[in-house]
Formats: sequence, structure tokens, C-alpha cells
Amino acid sequence: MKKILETFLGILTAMGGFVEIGELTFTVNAGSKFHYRLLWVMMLGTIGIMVFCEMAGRIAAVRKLPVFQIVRERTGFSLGLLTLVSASAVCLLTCAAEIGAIAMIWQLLSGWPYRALILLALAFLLLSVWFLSFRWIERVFGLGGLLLIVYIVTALKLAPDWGTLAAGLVPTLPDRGSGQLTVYAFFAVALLSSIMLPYETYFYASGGIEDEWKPSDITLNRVIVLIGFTLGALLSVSLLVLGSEFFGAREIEIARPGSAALAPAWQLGQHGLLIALLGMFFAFAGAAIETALSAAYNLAQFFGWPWGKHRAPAQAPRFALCWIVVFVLAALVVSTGVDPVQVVEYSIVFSIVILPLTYLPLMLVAGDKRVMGQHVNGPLAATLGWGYFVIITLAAIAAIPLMILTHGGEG
Amino acid sequence: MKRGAPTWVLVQAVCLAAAMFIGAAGAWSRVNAPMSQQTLRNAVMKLRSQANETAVLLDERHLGLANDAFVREHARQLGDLVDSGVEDLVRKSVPPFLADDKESTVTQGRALRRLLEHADTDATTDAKRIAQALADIAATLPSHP
Repeated sequence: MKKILETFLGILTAMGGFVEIGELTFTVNAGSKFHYRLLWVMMLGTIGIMVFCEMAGRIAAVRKLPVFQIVRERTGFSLGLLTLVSASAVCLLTCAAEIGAIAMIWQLLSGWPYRALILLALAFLLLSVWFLSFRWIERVFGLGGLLLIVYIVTALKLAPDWGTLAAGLVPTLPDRGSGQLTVYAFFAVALLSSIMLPYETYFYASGGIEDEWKPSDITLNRVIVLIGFTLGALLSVSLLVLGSEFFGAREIEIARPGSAALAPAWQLGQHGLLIALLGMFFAFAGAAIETALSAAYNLAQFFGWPWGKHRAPAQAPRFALCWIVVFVLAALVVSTGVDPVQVVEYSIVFSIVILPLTYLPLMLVAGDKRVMGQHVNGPLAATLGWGYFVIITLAAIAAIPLMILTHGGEG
Repeated sequence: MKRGAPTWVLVQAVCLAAAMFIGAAGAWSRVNAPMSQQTLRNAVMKLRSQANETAVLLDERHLGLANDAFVREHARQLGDLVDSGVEDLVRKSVPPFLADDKESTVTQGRALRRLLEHADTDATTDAKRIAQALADIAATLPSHP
């Protein structure tokens, strides 16, 4: 019974923690610009993050090896350090964007000044991570993020054409002569990156070790990844529907998290609006915590320091200091007045650039029979793993040129 | 590098550094370069999107779908976005043949800003009018010259 409850909670928290500010804005705007034409990218990205997290979770369960210990062991100190610095920079940028987005949501609810709310958000996040255990962090913010189901309800009420939606699973290019091909390619890469954000894997693998997963938990790992991420993807699809049916129909591209709440308000009134705002708050706060902890996990695992939320800060002082510093730096970044939505756009593009650097070492370990024994990658995991490696490498090469060519997706 | 590690990892690392540099240079040029026809069109389209969003926001208040406090604060956030878009337009130079379009866009942007300051319920029509005026300007600027 305990196992079933644990699995159920794992699925729900995986679903509730699937969306963050970058994915929200990119998905809604992808729907607004290209309707359902990029649905196939969402499917591709969802399977990709399943493959990546399943491998990371399996390695964590079998060998208790976290991602950055693997990176250091497989690529050596110098190259591993470069990967670590890049990954930490992306975690910091993403954390900054999430804190800015939380402050914006709170501003909509309270009317207080933005900068004061950044400070308040910083204090809230620091206290949450300090006092809550890993399990409760997952539960509070993952389950709170489930309020975003209001977007699924809104999408259903918008009554999309299911045939057109399903047709989006087959890749099609924009009309010739529309001049939108490069923008379409940029959105495809950005959407893929926003779903396959590397910090999710760092956090997932470290979480498996925090939760003391054993080889017998491999099935739990697979169920959470398969069902939780599929349900999370449903949330993303509902955002695409909103983008197409509500925002696209009104020729709006959103640039603030509160804008996304206009659709539930239109369909469900003030209750829908409030639930959407609260859901976004929990989702963004969860993402801010995941990014800060991921940066701390990465540093501690790379340098071999004691780490983990299961340890008191006095037992893992450098780990605790790392996540505190990440939160403070992130709050400082958004306090400068930089636009959080633009920050997350950059962090998403750079995320895909660094993704192959952490993906490959992980895949090499997952496919190494000497390390994984009977739990080594089977033919399906190996085929999918190498297939996705090619895809993310191509996306990584294309990401920055596309960002420059399209002025960050504007055209 | 650890023995046995694939050399392409080194290649990837160099590519990563180059990509970061190119990205930073691209971002810098995006902020500082003069406006082309395409970038002016992008700015117009962004303002038009914000005008359309303003119309929806005011409609929602009129219909009782969003409360006054939310509308006021969201209008303030949108107003800040409009401000920065208009300031960016004013700051950047354009070729002479785009000067009139730039001026008209700035005028519409400032009108939208004023409208968002007050966020009156009956201003929905004004927001729609501004959106239409911006769409007309965008129509004169081909998307890919």
C-alpha cells in the first residue's frame, strides 16, 4: 500500500513539476504563431526527457551515481569543469527567471512593488528549502503545481478541432513564402529544449539518491517517468491549445506569466483566474528550488563534497552554501530590472547547447554492462538513447544561429 | 582529459565556448544595432500584440471575469513592457524611408501607454483601434524585404 501511494505521489509530483516559466511562454507562443504544427516537437521532447530521466534514475537506483559524478569520471576534470560551469550558469539564469516570475505573480495578487516581492520570494524560497525535507519540497510544490490542470479544463472548454490537433503530430513546415521557416525552426529547437531542460535530470537523479532508491525501485522509476511525464505533457499540450485557440485567434503573444491566466479567466471567470495564478506560483517556485538545488547538487557531486537535503546543513555545509548563494545571485540578477521572460529565453537556448555534454556520459554509463550489470540499457533504451543524442546534438548546433537569425524568435 | 574519453568531447567543448561567444555577440548586436525594416516590423507587431491583450484584459473586467486589482496590476506590467518597447524605438535609428513608420508607431505606443495607465473599462474600443492602426503600419512593412 505504501509503495502504491509513493508511486501515485511520484506520478502527481512529476506532472505538477513539468511546467515552468520558459516552457509556459514558449508553448503558448508556439501555439499562437504556428497553431498545432509544433505538437510533434512536444511529443519528441517528452519521449526524450523520459529516455534521459529513466536512464539517470536507473543509474541512481542501481549504482547511486549522480549525474555530475558520472560527468567527472567519464570526461575528466577539465572538460567536466567546463560542463559544470555551463550547467551552473544555466541553472542560475533559470532560477533568476523563476524568481522574477514568482514576483510578477505575487504582484498581480497583492499590488506590492516588484523589487520588494523579489526579496520576499527569495526569503520564501530560502526558508522553504531550509525547513522542508526533500520529500515535502517535492510534494508541496509538485502537488501545488497540479492546480495548472485549470489549463487542461480551459483547453477542453475551448473545444479545439481534435483532427487538426492530432495532425500536428506529423511534422509539417509553415506555408512557403510566409518567411516563417527560420522562426518555426527556432521555436522547434526552443520547445524541445524547454521540455528537455537538463536541470530536470540532475534533480531527478539526485532525488532518486535522496529517496534511497534501490535496484528494486527501477519499476517505480519507469512508472513515474512514463505516466508522470505523459500527464505533464498533457499540461503542455493544453498550453499549446490555449496558444492556438485563445491567443492566436486574438493575435496575442504573451510576454508575462499573468497573460497566460487571461484564458482561464475568459472561460472560467475569477475562480479560473485565481487557480491559474496559484498554479503558476507553485510551478515556478518548484522550478526555482529545483534549479538552485540542482546547481548545488552538481557542484557537490563534481567535487566530491557531502551533499543532500537528507543531511543537516551542518553536515553538508558547502552544499547548503551553494544553494543559498544560487538563490541570492538569482534574486540579484532579476533585481537589476532585467526581463525574466527574456532571461529564460536565453537560458532555454543555452540549455540545449549544453545538453549533449551531460547526456552522453550518462548514456555511456547506462550502456556499460560492467557498471550496470543486468540493468544495462536494453536494445530499445540504447536505440532511443543514441537517436536522441543525434537529435539534441543537431539542435545544440542550430540553437544559437537560429536565435540570432530570428531575433530570438521574433522573425 | 581522461584516457579513453572521446576526443569529440573536446570538439564539443570548443563549440560550446564558441557558441556562447556568438550568442553573447548576437545579443549585444540585437540591443545596439540600428533598426532594419524587419526589426521595426517586429517592434510594431509586439506593440500590436500588447494592444490586443489590453483589449482582452479590459473586456474581462467589463464582463466581471477578472477583478479590478488583477486588471490594474496586469495593466501596469503590460504598461512597463510598452514603455520599454517605445523607449527602444525612440533610442534606435532607422533609415530615412522608415522614419514616418517609426514615428507613427511611437505615437500609437504612447497612446497605448496612456490607456494602460487608466485602464478604463470603456477603453476597449480604443485598444482595438490602436491595434488596428499598428496592424496597418505593419502591413506597409514587408516581413522579408
